[in-house]
Order: sequence, then structure tokens, then C-alpha cells
Amino acid sequence: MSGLGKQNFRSWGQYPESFPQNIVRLPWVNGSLFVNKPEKKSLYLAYGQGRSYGDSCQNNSETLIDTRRLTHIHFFDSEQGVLRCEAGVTLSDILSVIVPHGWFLPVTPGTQYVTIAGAVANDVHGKNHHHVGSFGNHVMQLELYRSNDESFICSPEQNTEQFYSTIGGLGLTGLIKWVEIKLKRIINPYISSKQKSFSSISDFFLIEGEDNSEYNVAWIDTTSTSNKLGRGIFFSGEHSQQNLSVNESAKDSCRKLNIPVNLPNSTLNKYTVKAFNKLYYFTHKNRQEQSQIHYAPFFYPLDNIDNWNRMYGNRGFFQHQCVVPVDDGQEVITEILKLVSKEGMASFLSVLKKFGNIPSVGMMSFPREGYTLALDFPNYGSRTLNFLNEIDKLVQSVNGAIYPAKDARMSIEMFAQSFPRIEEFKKYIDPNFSSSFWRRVTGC
Amino acid sequence: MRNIIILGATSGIAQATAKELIEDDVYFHLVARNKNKLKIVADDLTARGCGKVDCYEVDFNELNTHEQLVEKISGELDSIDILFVSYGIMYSQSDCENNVSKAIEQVNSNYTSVVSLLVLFSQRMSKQNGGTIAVVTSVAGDRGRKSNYIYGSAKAGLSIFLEGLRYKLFDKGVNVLTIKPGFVDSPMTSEMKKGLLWASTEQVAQYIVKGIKNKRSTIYTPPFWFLIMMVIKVIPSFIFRKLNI
Repeated sequence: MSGLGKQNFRSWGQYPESFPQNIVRLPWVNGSLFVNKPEKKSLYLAYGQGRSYGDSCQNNSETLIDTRRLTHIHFFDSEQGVLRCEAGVTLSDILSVIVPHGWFLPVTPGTQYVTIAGAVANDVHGKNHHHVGSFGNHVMQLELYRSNDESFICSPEQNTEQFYSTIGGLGLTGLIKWVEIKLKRIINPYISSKQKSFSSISDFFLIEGEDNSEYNVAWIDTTSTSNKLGRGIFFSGEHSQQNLSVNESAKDSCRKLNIPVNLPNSTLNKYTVKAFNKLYYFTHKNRQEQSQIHYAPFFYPLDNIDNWNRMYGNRGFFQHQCVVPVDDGQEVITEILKLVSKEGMASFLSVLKKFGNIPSVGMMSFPREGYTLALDFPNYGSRTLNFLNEIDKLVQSVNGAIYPAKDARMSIEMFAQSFPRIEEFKKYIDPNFSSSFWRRVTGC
Repeated sequence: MRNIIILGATSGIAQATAKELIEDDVYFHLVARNKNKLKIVADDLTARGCGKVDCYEVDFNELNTHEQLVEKISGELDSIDILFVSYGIMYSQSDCENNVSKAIEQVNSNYTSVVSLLVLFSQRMSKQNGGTIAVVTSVAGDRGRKSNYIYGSAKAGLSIFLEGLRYKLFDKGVNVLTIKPGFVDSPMTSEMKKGLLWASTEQVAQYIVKGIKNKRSTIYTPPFWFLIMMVIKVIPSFIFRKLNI
């Protein structure tokens, strides 16, 4: 355990700044953190890879528990496809172990550099939500370590309330020590992928309804206007069923780039974002053919650029991901896109997907049936904040929700509306755990 | 199967290095003090696909058990492919200055016990053809500094021992690799403030495995520490004594 002084622990969006009072480490899963607690009470929060965009991974002026040494795999049953590993193991690490044995993650978010405990605490979703639900649907059991120094196993069979409050529970129910998940069978590491352009948002809703691929997601050009509003590329894919020989170099076919320092704030401005969006649309527009690509570029295109968040410069950026019910979805998503283009707030990378109707198991899980739109915007201060509040109003008008893992600014009201089971959830929060996010969205 | 013996298998550097060495024909013999931690490391290596793992629970400071230990581990083995030594303790300099038993324990653990085990293992390894003895010492052994000279002197002694052993075993085809890490972010240093010069155990492990494969004699990990220590070694003592390092 160590005090690192006033070190800035920024989240992936590099906003807001956060200075934990103390960092403690738990290098061994059977070690203790809370036995000889110091006199002064501090509020704890587990910190993994810091890949949450906003303040849900931050604990300003309180204590972070660095889980990045909890990286042991306890077992991998390559016959049954079950893996148990410690909180700090990254999805990338898991993939490197399981893929050679013909297994894959049941659900994966858009980066493989998150920890498994982070994936559970945010109940992350992937491009296959419409078929398999979110990450929490595939968790078999986990061990929770509470600040009263007690550890216990939670699963759908035992300590069920703690289990369902910990999945999607934003790390507030205690420290997740290890997680056991059920994996998915694959034949090879490749994805048969297809892409199709659509010339406006209304065309997206037509194509989307017809597609039943295992994985799908659409990229939206938020800089296009009028009758081209919301044009984009629809990506879909299935795990390849062919017996292909494995070419390990395939995943590295794109050279890995690194952005070593924050770029100037002006790097991503209205014009460069517009140019990027146009370029992306036209380079992908005419590629209709089906291709076999390695899973890494299919699922994790941005992982090829280390520290891509630094493109936004030192000011940081906001992500905004909402989900709106299917019935009103088309209208609201269209309204949001109109607002984005009207305000000239081009989003660099915008993604639209329909969540299926498999219910998330977590009390506080974000994924629910409907359309989910993810946008990102450079931090221009109050201008961006006001604009995001305008989007929230649209989401609020149809009882939609905002994703905490990507949020650094939603209002108390918006949060309360997004998560109707808050009061029930509060019963399971560890009294000595909290986060900057939680204090902000609950006003305490 | 290739036999890899790791003394101090639960240390941060050892764990990361073992992960780098995993192959399906590798047989790990893990030695450390804590049974529960050993099991976690062994399970992890097994899940990640190594061929076989055995664990030995040992307190390295009990010198009179060493002969038996070496016999138990290597008695049945045809040959030892890699002997990796990565254990040690680091007490703060002021603790050692104020408490001679801590100073002695530090020297015994980092020097005497390692010498004892290396003498015993090298008796065996000199009878086989080939193999590597890789031992973690420290840049702290390159020059006496007022902030860390007790730890440093044990590591310096160990580096000299390894140099001699290297020449001794050269004819027998056994390579002796001296590993000098700089600041490594590991459980041993968890109390220290981290800065730019700090490396992760994973980075250090990659250099170690490269050093073993390339049959190097001494490596600094990361390599830029060679330059830093070169500068530190040439600073004249009339200046050095005024520096607070």
C-alpha cells in the first residue's frame, strides 16, 4: 500500500481532472485491504485500466484501489469453455489465452484493454447485444470483497442480490476479486464481415431491420446534412465457420501507432472532423464485398492507435451514449442528429446500434431494448455542456437513458430517470465505497 | 520437457518472466516462501498453457535446508534449462542503519542465501551441457550511494560472484546472465513514488527473456539504465558526496 501524493488520475476522456488522496494496491487476491484501517475513514473505489470515459472510474480526494496487479487466471477449462480470472485481467489477455483453444469472449466492447472487473461493473455490451445480451448475462459467479473485510461468492444461485447489484454496479458494491465467465465457441480467429453504406438515417432503419448477423453496428457521418443526414456504413459480421489456417500476423496487419503526448487542442476541429467523416464514408462506401478479417481489426479498430484519446488534446472530450426505446427511436435519433448538425458540433466517431430484447441482469445495467447512439465531442467548455444537455432533453422526453461509463456531466434528474432501480440498488452499496460519478449524480 | 526453475517465483519480475517463457513443453519448478501465492502463480501458468508446474514452499534464509532443496528439485531432472533467481528483500536504508539485524537480514537474503543456492545448483549444472543461470541483481550494486548502500553492497557482491561463476562455467556451456533492473514497479517497491524512469515488470521480463535467448552476460533493464549508471559511476567522489542520491 502506498501514498502516491497528488497524482492526477485522468479517465479516458481526460475530463474531469481527479486527484485521489491515496492509492492502495492489492497484489494478491487473498490479501487484505481493510483489516488495519487507518483512523481516518476514506471512501474506496477500484481502479483498473481507466478506460471509462468520465468520472465513474474516479474517486477525487478519496482512495483508489489499484487492481492492475490482480492479473492471475485461476483456471481455464478448454473443454467446457469456462474461465475464472482476477479483477485486473484485461480482455486482451483473456483473448490471447482462449482464442488458440477455439473460444471467444461471449460479449466484447469496442476495446480489449478493459479489465474483466470493469466489464462487469459497467455491464458492457457489444455488437452482438441483439443475440446474447450484455456481459453480465454471461457471468457465472464472482467474488466480492467488502470493506468489513468479508469476502463472499455471488452468483445467480447464492447471494443473488449482491450478484445483480454488482453487475452494472459501477464498482460501488465492494471490490470484485475475481470473475468466472462462460465463453463462446469459435472455429478460428476470423470474422466474415460485410459492410453496406446507407445514404441517410431513414435508410439505416430499413437496413437494420433486415440484418440478422451475429454482430452489427453502424458508423454515422454526423457532418452530413439535409437529405444526407445520418448517412453511414453498416458493418455486420459472423464468426467464420471455415477451417482457415491461422495467420497470427493478420491481427497486426495495421502497424500499431502511438500518440505519445496530448496533441494541440485544435487538432480535432470542425473542419478536420468533417474531412475525416467524409473520407471515411467515401472510402468505405463502395466496399460491398464480404471478407474474412481477424477479430482484432473487426472489434477493436481504435486499439491500433495507443492513447487515441490524446488526439483531443489536453482539454479532453465528452462521450455521450444514450439508449432510446424502439418505438420512438427513429424520431429521436433523427432529432439528435439534426441537433448535432445544426449546432455544428461534429462528432469524430459516431456509432449507432439496436439493442435487442434480452434483459440485462444488473439492477443498474445500461443496456435495454432500443436504439443506442454513441457520440464524442471535444470539450469546448460550457458550449459543449449546454449542447449535451439539449441532447439529454430529447432522450428524457422518451424515457431513454444515458450510459454512466461514458458520462462526465449528466444531471441528477437524468440519472434518476435512466436508472429507475436506484433506491433498491442503494441497499447493496458498500458504505465505504463511492466514486466521483456517484457523488455527482446523486448529489451527495 | 524443458525444465525451468524459478527461485522467488512469486516476485513481480519472476511472475512476468515466467509468463514470457510459457510454452507447452515447459516444466516450471516454482520455489517461494508463501504456499497460497505459489498456488495462484502455478494455476495462472497452467491456465496460460505451460506444460507442467511443481511448487516448493521454502524460506530461502534457512541455509541449512538448501542442499536438501536442491536435491529435491533437481535430483530427478535430466538437465536444468534455465535457473532463474529473482528473490530478495529491500528494507529502507534508515531501517537498516538503525537496526543491525535488519541490515544483516538484508545482506543474508540478497547475497548469502543466493550464493549458497547458486553454488549447489552450479555443481549440478556444470555436469550437464548447456543451460542458463539468470539472476536478478540491481543497478544499486554499481556504486555505493548513501541512500541505499546496504542493499546495494549485497547486490554488488552478488554481481561479482556471478561474473566469476560465468567464467568458471563458460567451458561447461552454461551461460550466466546478470540482470540489473533499474526502478521496477513491483510489489517490492510499492511504497516508493513512481516517475518517468520506472518500468513495468512486463517490460523488464521481455528484456530478461531476450537476454537469456541471446546468451548475454550482463543486461540493464530497461537498457537506458546502462547509460544512467555509466554517468553515475564516473562522477568524482568529491562531487558525489554532495549529491543527495
